[in-house]
Amino acid sequence: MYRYDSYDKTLVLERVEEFRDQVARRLTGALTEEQFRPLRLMNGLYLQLHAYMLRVAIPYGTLSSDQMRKLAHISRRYDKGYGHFTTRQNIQYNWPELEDVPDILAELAEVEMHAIQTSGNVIRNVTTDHFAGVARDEVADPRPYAELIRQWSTLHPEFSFLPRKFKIALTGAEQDRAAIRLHDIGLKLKRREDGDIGFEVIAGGGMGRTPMIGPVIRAHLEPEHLLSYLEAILRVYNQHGRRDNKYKARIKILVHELGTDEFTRQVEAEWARIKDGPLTLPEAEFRRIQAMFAPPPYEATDGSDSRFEKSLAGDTAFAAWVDRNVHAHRAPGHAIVTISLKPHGGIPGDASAQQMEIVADLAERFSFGEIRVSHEQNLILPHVKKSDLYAIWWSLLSFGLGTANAGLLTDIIACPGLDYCSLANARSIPLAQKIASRFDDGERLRNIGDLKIKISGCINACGHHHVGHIGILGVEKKGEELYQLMLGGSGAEDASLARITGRGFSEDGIIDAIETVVDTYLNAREEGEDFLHTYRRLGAEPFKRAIYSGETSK
Amino acid sequence: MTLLNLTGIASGIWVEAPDGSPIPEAAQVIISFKRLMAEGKALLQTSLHLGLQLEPHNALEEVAQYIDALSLIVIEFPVFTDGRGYSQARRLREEFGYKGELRAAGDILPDQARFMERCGFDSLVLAAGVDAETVRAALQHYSFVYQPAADGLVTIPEQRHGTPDRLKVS
Ligand code: SF4
Repeated sequence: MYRYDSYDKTLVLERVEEFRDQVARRLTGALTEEQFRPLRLMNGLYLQLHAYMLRVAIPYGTLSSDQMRKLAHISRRYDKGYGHFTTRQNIQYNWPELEDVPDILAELAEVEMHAIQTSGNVIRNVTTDHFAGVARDEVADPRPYAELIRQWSTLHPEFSFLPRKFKIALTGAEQDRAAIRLHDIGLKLKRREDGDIGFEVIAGGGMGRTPMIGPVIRAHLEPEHLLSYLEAILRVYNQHGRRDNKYKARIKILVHELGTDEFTRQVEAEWARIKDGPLTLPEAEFRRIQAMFAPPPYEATDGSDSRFEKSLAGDTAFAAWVDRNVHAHRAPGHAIVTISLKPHGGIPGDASAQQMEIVADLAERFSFGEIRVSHEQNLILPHVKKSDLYAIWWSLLSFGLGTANAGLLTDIIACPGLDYCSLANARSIPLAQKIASRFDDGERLRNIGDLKIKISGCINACGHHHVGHIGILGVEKKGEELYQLMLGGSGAEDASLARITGRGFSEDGIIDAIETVVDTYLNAREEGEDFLHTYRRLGAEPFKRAIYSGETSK
Repeated sequence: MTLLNLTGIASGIWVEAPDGSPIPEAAQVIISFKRLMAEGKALLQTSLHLGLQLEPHNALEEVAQYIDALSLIVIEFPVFTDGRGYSQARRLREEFGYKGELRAAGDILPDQARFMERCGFDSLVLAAGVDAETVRAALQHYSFVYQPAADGLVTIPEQRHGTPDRLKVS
């Protein structure tokens, strides 16, 4: 993991002091809320429906056990004893008091964390594959580059007042777990035929009101030019992105309006000018950062593990959990564990202080003190020995963390919705809870297989409904909360946007409709075919017929 | 309104010449982008010191041919959230090699001064109600910078590994 040196430390501490001063000025009334707003928004502090919300950055979703314990402590001391892990691999506290926020930031700084650029029209916390560095299908580890981007973008003097927020995601793997085609910039490390590694650069993807799958604007970018290329993209966007309409201000609209070719031409022209300047990646600095992401000293094994095999054969509940929540690891005899934050009936992404501490302890004992946050709002133990899996599972079970549903229908992404968000049309969290209760049957869920449900409480799409295999969008009609059903989206390497099926539903109605969709799929699927592929093979028609006229296909 | 000088550049008194009105009898005159486009060639023949008032949408490519004749460029920030002026400033300095005074005017928050300084501004026109002391304090908040900009500061990545080549005198 990356560790701060004295420069990183100083900068974060200076940020804390700056914010302390700004809060003090607000509390004495020297700053009005209107004047304070842009300042707090530079630091992840929002005013929500009922209270302030503080969003803390978890750079590229990586946490140490100590950092996790600090997050738990903060939730206990300054909040209501829990935190909410977000789709951008961050954590949110929903109830801090304004006067406490500088102290919270000071405590975060003690463990090399901050809330810089977790809100505002700036380059936001960069996200990456939560399996980075351990995935088997990885060409190169994206984390050192993510850290370079973090540093370059922190307090960037030119790009702190962009037309709109700006999100960058990276991956180094074939399978896209970071939704790079739905970000303002997506970067994918690839090996070219001649063996050289470079970035495929995607720009202008995004969700929100106008979802777009980003086009590739450069097939191969030498890694040493990463920052100059990003700077060129940002400079074109900062000057020409629309500022007349908030809803048209994201880079996707600029790319769309200019056309990919013209946008790319402008970026390349700017890049040609700055390409070999001071942003060129210094070899020594890259190696310094890369060394901190070296693999931990895994115990050498031949990969076979009789104890693990025995538990697997002897305990079907454990086997079910392994089947869904344990993933192939690069090192023999090791595995990656997904800790589900989606217990049936719980709030997707929430973790109590105690749960955070348990995870921190487990990571310390079994995963070289490292934890990841996934954009699907689960936690990951990236370096687990297979022989430890059974013990880990037992511990997780006793703290409500052992749900065997990673990637299944109840592994739902839901935005905060009407319970917290002032923009919401409808509730998201209670709906997610009710769906999970309706499908609260492990065997049935496993039979249904991979199925991603994503729920947004309004058109802003924080719950990523556009890329749900089943997407749900909260709308308001004549003062009533309604839910629209969408099918066929994907945020992965085969990205596609979900399409609306037809008229909306009440809360109970939408759950019935989901059940109908699932039954239609089960009746129609071919051997080994998951929901998305059945949908793509058949198209929307049979599903629509089943939902709206009660016919089920054979 | 207060003029806050960041780099100690000598400013002197500038007189604005609104579009359509005759160029005043003064040594240093500020004109609009539009006027520069229309009358720039003629004005270059005079002994005037020319200043240019830029709006965020003005194309710098059009200004390029006058760069060496300008001694002041004022970049307007219509609202503090409009960040185009930062890119204009850096491009004027780094792409077009502008050496004269660069001034920011309009809606400026104290905490933005530091960013402006880094993008190559020499001076800020502070609106009534913006306290110059608060701005000066805000300029002092940070000891280090991560990224290169128009101010040429040594960046953190550079400091970590000794003096960078670009700053070595041969
Ligand atoms: S999608 Fe809408 S309701 Fe949900 S969090 Fe975003 S803005 Fe709020």
